[in-house]
Amino acid sequence: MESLTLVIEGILFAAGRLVAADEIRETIRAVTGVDSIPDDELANAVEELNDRYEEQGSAVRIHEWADGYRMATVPALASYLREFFHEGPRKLTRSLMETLSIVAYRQPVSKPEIDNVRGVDSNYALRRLMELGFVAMAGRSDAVGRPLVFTTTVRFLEEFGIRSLEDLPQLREAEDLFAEGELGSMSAINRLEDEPEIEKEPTGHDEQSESKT
Amino acid sequence: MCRRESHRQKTSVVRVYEVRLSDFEGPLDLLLFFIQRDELDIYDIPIARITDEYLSYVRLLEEIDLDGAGEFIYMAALLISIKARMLLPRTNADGDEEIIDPRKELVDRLLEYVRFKDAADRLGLVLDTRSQLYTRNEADDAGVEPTDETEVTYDVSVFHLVAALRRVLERAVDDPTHLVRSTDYSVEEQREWLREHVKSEKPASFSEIVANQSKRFIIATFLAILEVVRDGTFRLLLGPSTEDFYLVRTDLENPEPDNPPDN
Repeated sequence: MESLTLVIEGILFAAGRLVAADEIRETIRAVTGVDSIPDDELANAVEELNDRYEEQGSAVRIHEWADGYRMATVPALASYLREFFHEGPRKLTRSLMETLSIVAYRQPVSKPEIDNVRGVDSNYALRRLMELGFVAMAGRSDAVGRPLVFTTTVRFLEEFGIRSLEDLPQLREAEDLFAEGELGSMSAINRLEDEPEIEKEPTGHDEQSESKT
Repeated sequence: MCRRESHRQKTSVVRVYEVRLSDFEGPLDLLLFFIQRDELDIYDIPIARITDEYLSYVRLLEEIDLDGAGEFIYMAALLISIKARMLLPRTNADGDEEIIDPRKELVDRLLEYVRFKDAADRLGLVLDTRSQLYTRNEADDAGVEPTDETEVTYDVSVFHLVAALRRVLERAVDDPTHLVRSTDYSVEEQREWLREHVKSEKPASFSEIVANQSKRFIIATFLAILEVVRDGTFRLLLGPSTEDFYLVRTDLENPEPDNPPDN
């Protein structure tokens, strides 16, 4: 059979969407009859491809997002592609980001719980997040009144470049935030002055930070 | 960003940030704003002082009728009830149970909110990083809410503006009592007035353009400013102090503003 790296590269290149590890496995099984390729073998193949891309100075890397794989361009090309696609900066408003964070860390979570944390009504924010496909309804809770509960979606993980919910940045303790003086809007203003520093999760392919210009 | 640079050169304002009012902020934000501005200890909030300040803001919010002032009322009630409980002698009948600070519930909520505010900031950074990477079928994905430049929000609170309005109002002359003729100003009139009075691209100081005007005039003008900022014909610049803010006309430098309709 063709090498695993070749097959993965081909599928990811042609798919143009997020491809789950299981889809790759299933495809290979259907064609070659080779069953159950272990996760680490897939991961190694992807790493090998990324190493090769890096060596060759390629424009793409393979990322592991939402428990699947997807090819994307390197950050150094961002300004060209933004121009090419005529895009503005991709941002969510603060109320959306706040609501999304609460759903992400507290899921499954009901609207009253979200409202309680934020101190305001989150009706609009939730609706908008559902329209964007980042949040979905996931049944009802057993709490009094059986309120609807919300969770984040696969699309959320993919669009935020997060491998799985376990890989969300750790929710910090308020005490630490006060100690660091990172509270409130003034410190946020000060941070605007600085280049945002991302604590990168060890994802196995660290090319993002290296190829940053 | 380059616009911001250019304004920095043109004005004497040391650090200037653009402000947009699309984002509503809630009562917890307002309390955090006080705590942080005055560098208060969150575990020992001076309730009486903060309640008075909070109430004066809520009254102002009601006066200028900012959307959702109603959501501030619940917090006002909570603050007043805490303030009342703080005044009561806190003796413990049983002697063995620990005395619960009446502020505890509020502090716990604030702390919890701060955690998610921080999480939202950091998730924003995660999104920024991801936004540098482009995939195939980008157009089909429709991305993460691709926004026009005007939609970019900086983390400056609407309370900074309200704070500036408050300073100006404090200095404003009250309508003299002997005045017989009623002087009502409509927001529409003030929009026109703004267009006539802020004609250049030079940032105009809010406190200067409403200097020596009555409170009614200032409030109507403030509301008119909110509207012209929303429709994109003006932008706001906020300096490091909460004393004042600046208005810049944008329809002059850009004869055909291509602003998207607001949501």
